[in-house]
Amino acid sequence: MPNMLGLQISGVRLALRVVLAVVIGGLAFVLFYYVPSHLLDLIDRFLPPGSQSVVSGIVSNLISPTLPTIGLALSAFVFLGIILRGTKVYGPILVLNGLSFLAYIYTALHGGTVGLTLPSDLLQGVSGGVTVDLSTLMLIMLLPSLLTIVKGAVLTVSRPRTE
Amino acid sequence: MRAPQFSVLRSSSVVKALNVLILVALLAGVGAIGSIALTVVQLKPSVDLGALQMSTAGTVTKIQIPVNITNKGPLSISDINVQATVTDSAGDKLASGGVGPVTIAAGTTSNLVLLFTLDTSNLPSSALQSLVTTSQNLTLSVVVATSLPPFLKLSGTASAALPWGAPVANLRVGTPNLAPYNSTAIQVSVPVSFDNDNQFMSINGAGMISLVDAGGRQVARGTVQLNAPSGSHFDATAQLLLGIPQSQIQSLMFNDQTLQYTASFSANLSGFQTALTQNFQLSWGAPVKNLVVGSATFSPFNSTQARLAAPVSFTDNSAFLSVSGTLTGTISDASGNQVGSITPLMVTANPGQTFASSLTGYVNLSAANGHTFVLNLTFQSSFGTVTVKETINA
Repeated sequence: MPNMLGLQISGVRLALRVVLAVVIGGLAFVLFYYVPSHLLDLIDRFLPPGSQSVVSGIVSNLISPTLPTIGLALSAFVFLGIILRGTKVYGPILVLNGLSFLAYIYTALHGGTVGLTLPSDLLQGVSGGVTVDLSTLMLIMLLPSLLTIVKGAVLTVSRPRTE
Repeated sequence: MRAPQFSVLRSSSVVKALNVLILVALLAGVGAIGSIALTVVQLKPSVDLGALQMSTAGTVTKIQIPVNITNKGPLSISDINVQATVTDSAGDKLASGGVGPVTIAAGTTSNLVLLFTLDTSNLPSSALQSLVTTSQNLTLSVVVATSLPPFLKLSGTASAALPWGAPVANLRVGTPNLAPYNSTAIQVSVPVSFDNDNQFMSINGAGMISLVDAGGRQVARGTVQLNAPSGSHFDATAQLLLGIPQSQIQSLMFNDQTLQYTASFSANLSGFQTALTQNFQLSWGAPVKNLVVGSATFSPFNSTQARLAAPVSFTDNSAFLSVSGTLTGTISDASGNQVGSITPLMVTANPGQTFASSLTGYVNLSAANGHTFVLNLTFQSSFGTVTVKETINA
């Protein structure tokens, strides 16, 4: 049976892992990279005519330019995590996975405080701004990532070492 | 020497426990997001704005907007606080109000009332005058805060232009028209008009109109009832009575002249003050113009007196005043000594008419040979008594 980084795995199971990794990694790619980087194009058909510039301003305000990059890395770690599950590098991969999820959530929620300036041509001459404090919600959403990092660290530390 | 290792069994249990915790944390996160989404999504169709109600008591106007909010979501909407301020184009604060802090528990309905108060007694007079007479864009500024505990807090600000139509726009006091009233007074009709461009207010009340002459004396005063619904044009005429001022009767009786007046309009409408003055001129025609007494003739009367007769005429140059009265007086010689008296003569003339008659009197025989006499005439009319001296020759 082939040995992949300390894991004995049959070719069939490896193939199944690759298929699963492609599907889930692909979904992660679409959700965490493609959607935020092409959001305007995706919602354009649903926008009232003439509102594109206004919505574009709001979207650029809400979505950080680094978010798609973090999402790309996140998708890669999700893919690798499925492929390399049970291998000796799985622990570090999980840590990187958790870190990338943590960074993604933190960046998406702007550190827990989301501020938005309403352009005056959005609502017939109404201008203003909205600030949403999502600190508690963000901490709840970061918990799975933090626990994943801990899990990856435990797996890394507990893995038997060869002399 | 082999490095110490984690017990495989122990680490396996830790990993399993972590897996469970990760799952629980994921479910908690999904639950939190789901609760927030459910609460927010159902909120929009559950907010019902009622009809705006406005009431006024003295200088205070209250605007109430009822809001009915039903919270069908799983989270309570806490510490809802809405505060709003209205400022005019110069930045003066006109009204303020709001509601809160209020909490709407999950599954309950709350009836809120947004209350705004405008107290005109607290406004600078310049702001008040501008608000009454000038249509402008006011600024509505709103500060909103609320929270969906324990997950999020929201705060926001918004400002928008609020078109304000002046309730008394284009106020005009027109040139008064004169008409006869009676023998002692003139009727003055003062036209007043304005536009109520306001979207909310009706104008109801009494306006005061007064006439002040060139010397600053108030000579007439009256009221005009104002009734202008929102978006309407108001047009009315105030009827004033202008009495002929006795202090000027001597000049007014005999001389054409141009009288200067100022018409002042003022109104206090639910604490809103508005005022306007308009200067105008009245062309005054003298009721007894060109009073002429012709040469006198004498004829014997008795052993001590001679009868004097002299033609007398004048023109009633007034456009609307008739002249009615009695002409009496005394006769003096050139030295000022009284030598006779005038027989009372009834005088009547309509506007534009010329009065002509014969003035008669009796003179002492000793003075009848004189060439020059002074008639000290007293004219008692319905609108006053005037005196005039006429020198005649025999």
